[in-house]
Amino acid sequence: MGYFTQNEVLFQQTLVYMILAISIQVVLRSGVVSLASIGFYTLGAYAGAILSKDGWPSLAILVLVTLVSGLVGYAFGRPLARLRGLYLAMATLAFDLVIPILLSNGGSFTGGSLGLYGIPVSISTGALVLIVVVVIYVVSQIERGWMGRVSLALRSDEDLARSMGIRVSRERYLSFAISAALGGLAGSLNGMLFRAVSPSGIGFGLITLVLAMAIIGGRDSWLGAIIGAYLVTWLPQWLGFIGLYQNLFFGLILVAVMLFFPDGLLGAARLGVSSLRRRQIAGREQIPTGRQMAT
Amino acid sequence: MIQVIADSLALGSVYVLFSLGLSLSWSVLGLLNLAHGAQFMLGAYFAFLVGEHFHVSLLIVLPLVVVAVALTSVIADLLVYRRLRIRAGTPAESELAMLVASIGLAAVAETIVQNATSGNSEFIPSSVYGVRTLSTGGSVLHITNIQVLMTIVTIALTIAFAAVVKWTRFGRAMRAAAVDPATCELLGVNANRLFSVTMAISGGMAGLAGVLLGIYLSNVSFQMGDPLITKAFAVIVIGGVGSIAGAAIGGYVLALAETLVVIYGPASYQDAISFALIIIVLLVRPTGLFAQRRWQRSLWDTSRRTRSCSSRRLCT
Repeated sequence: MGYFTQNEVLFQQTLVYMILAISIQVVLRSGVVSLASIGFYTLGAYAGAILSKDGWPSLAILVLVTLVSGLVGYAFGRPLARLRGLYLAMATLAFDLVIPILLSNGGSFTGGSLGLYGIPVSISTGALVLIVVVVIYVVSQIERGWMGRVSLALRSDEDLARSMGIRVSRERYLSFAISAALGGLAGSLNGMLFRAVSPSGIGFGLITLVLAMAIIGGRDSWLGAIIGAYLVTWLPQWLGFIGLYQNLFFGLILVAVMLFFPDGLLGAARLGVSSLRRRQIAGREQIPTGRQMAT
Repeated sequence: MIQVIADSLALGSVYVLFSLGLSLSWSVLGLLNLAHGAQFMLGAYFAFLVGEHFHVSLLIVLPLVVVAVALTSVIADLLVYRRLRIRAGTPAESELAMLVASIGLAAVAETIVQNATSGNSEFIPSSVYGVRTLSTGGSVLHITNIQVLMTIVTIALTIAFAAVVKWTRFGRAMRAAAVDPATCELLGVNANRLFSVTMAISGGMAGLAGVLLGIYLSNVSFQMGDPLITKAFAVIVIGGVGSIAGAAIGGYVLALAETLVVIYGPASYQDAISFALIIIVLLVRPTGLFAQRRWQRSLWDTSRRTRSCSSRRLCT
């Protein structure tokens, strides 16, 4: 228990980042580079902070912020779904980066460039765990179900998916909405847990971190985002010596993962397991392995 | 008013150079290079390092730094981007892989400089590169020789580059490779080498913009490239990807708008202009103000083939 209380803030941070990483992974999985949920994360953090300063009950804040983020994400999704590939990445990146500027110009309402302090902590770690479990459950069900398969189809061939009768644009709006809702939820948790929010923490650094989480683990599954968020939050703790070079380290990991394990650790593990199984079968029954069959 | 125009010409020159480089790698390689800002910062930082240890003329430092930053681009292309491009199955996959890798590379470069400078911003004294105020117009007008240099270099380079793209064999090959690298290879163009050269030009432009702004503001910090990225987005969105004239006009227009806001409006909103432009233009007219074709950025029309070709092209 001593270990837990000592590292409670880090545990809380990990759990919040898990939701944020899932919010990016949800859209990346369908082959769309949208970083908008980081913007919703920022907005959600401020909304959570302001509302809990006003004395709102925490459950109401969570539900409200999540719903509003989802709705706004759906509304944003309509025009954004027209943009393809890199334009979407660019527009959502701009969205993420404009929010801190607007917030630091927000006067006493948002606390200007200093942010807001002395926010009452209105949620416990137990409740946080519960929320993460619920999020994982919902996302894993979505992933297993019809929509999950549709998003994989969209990634591999959009025209084919359309010809199979999938309403491509509607699926896009929906995944935007889910991503935004999760981003907002993670943000509001952040606002209610850590006593302070400020616009300075939002920038390329945070975007690098969150992308690293979604990609290191593997963007095909929620499990990848969970592993990624866990690793990225705890690595600096384990590797105290990297200290100031933490971002360099994450940068190198990102590049290395893209080069060598494009499907992340989870993808690498799956590959390892399947080749091991093949070898076992080959040893037992003397049938040719997959590679030999392919040639 | 002349002061406003002079200042926006200098600032706009940096925007133009920077955006041209970013737009070039995007249109030819399909790489939205988020390390472009870090390369810009490297340019300024190299100029600071050289200025601190040696006493050399700006005319020697400029080409040196440009070559150094161009080299970082080539190395990144050889070690990372080329492999990602070759392995990716579809253009969309290679775009995502290169985008993510470029974020990683940006973090690497920025962290190195952050630690080298202890996170502080470094000062380039105006005496190092002989920056001085030109005595024109008395006390009302304040124009430095570096401002004049920036404007001239940028305009000359932009025109020269447009001419190269339009009229030379190399330029034709570059435009062709932007549309269809595989067919280019069949026709005898070494697409991989061409891409490396393109990356070198793109990186060189970022480096040049960095040196010039670093000396102009006499200030270098490891994060100085980050705001430039979003400004270049605005410029590219206004002008259209791969359009040289569009980038030139967009860069100067954005700089003028920002300078006017600083003087007449709420100065803290200076950086918000570019974001507002990006969002408004993308929502209202997603093809850019100067783009010729409607389908360049839109998902809906035509088959995948035309889409992947048309979305990346280079024009003057």
